[in-house]
Amino acid sequence: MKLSVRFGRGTEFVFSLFLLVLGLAVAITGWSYGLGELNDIGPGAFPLGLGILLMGFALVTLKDALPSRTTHRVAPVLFIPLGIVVWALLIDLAGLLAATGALIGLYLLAEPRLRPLAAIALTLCLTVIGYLVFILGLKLPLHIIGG
Amino acid sequence: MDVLQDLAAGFQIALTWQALSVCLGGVMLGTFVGVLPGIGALAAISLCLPLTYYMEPVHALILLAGIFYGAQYGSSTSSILLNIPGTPSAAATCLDGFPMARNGRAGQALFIVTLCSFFGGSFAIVVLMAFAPPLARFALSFGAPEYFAVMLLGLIAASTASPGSTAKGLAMVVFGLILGMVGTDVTSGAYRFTLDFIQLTDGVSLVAMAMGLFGIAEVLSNLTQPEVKPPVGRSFRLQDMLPTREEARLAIKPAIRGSLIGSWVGALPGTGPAIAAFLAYATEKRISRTPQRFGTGAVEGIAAPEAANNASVQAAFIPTLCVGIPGDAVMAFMLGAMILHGIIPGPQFIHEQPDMFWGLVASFWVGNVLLLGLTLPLIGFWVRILSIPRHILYPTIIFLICVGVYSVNSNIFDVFVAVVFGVVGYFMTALQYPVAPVLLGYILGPLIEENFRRTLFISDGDFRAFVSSPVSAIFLALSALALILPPILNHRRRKRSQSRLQETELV
Repeated sequence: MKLSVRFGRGTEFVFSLFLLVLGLAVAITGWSYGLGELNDIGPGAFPLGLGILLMGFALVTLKDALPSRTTHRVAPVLFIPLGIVVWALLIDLAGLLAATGALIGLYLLAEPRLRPLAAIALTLCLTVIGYLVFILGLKLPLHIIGG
Repeated sequence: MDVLQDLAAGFQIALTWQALSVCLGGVMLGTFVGVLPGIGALAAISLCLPLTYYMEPVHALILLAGIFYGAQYGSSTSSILLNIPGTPSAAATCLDGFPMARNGRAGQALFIVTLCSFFGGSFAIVVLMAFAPPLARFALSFGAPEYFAVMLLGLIAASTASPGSTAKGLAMVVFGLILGMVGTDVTSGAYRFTLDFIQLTDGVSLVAMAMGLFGIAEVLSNLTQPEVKPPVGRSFRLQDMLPTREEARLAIKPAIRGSLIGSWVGALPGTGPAIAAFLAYATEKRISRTPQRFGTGAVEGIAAPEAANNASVQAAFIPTLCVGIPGDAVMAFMLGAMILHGIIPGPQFIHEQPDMFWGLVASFWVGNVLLLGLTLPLIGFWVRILSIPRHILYPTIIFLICVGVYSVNSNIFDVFVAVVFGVVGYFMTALQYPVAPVLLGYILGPLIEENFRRTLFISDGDFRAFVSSPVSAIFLALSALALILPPILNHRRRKRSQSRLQETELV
């Protein structure tokens, strides 16, 4: 997958907006926890202050947006997080071998330089390492095959 | 002579086979990640934290610290050979290290930086031994307002001292502080920002967050950018690496000055090894009679920054261990690791757990000697690491992150948390938001809030309590300076470069 995106003012704007909305949400939620009195600060006062500060800095970063542009490949950002999520979903259900196989399988889509045969060998190696270090060594409640 | 007696007791701990093996493992792993560009010490430290749960606390600290200072030794290798710093702290070494390599003096450059690293590290350990106990005694008098003021300075300095936009640095430190609020409020017992997830009532997992921000995000950032080709067929023989007498003479004074700068800068809040290295480089260039040699392979240009960054990482332990306030993200992580191991860092630490403190200090000596012995004879091995293909290295790192995060609580929720932070961290890196202040904010968030609330509680809501003691007043004034100065300096610099541009256009 050769799709790529350019990072520039647009992406900066979206991220600053994300911080602005996050700040607003934190401030409102903080308010709802109760502000207390000056000599007995409530659990919401600090979050309210932090939310307002984050909104302020997010507004400044909107102004500071960089004009520089860099191109990034999209595939790693899609398939590697997806691979980790699938690994987590499979680890208790199907065991270490299947979860690692799925992780490496999705990694293949992110980095085409990894050949399928090498991917199989890597899956087996990592499963063995995982077994020796985490199951045998650290006694983690994991199974190689099955949950 | 108390110090020597304490140190001797520390060596009894540091020289046990368990301590020696974790120290060796730590410095080897540190050198490994230091050599590799794109993978930093924090990624390796967070990857190892779950493993340390099975160790004695002192061994855990020896391992994690070893990774940190080992990475500084390794990071100069890729600076000199590839012109890419293994970690940001070795960026200054590229300026003269790579030209030396191009002039056929790569072996000599590697030899000089290793010796200077050892000298810088050793110098700062002596400083740590001399100043830590009296500083801890002084910090015993600190109350809530002083702690609040010192932490505030640390947070502001860390965000304004990071390269790039000040607003971005500050936004990230506030983002970290907000993350630190997630979980149960210690004063009222109320749940905050848990989004109804029972797993978040104890807060966001430090391991999951750090592995996401510094592990997954770094892998994503590296994979979305074009690959840098490693050098091929480079081999070094020790006898060919020996510098000439003139080169050795040129390195001595810069190494001493670099060590002094590194020890000073490292102990300050909000700084770090990268700033120490650049400051040392700039100082050498300024005082040199032949500044035009800098950038073309000047020995002083590698000796000073390497001594400085190694001194800085050892000195960074001073505020963390003595006052309980970390100066940078790695130290914040160390502080978090100590808390997870049930150790309360702060002025009481040295007096209540002298074995652990002096055992750690003794392990620094052991680690530095090990690094000196390992770096040069094994230089061929470290160079070969640069040629590990990334399609083998990165999936292995991702796998270790998955199992590592899962292993902490044997639940998959933390793995999902790590993914979220990985993606957010990737966007932050791509948009040049500094990631390190997030971790510092996260660790210091609950502490700074607690001290803020306690100050107002004790003073019955009187804000003057924050400036009533000289220590807190000075630190608050410094915080204000740290906040105001960088934008003014940036504005001036921008104006100057604009006027210079206009002058050139006129000519």
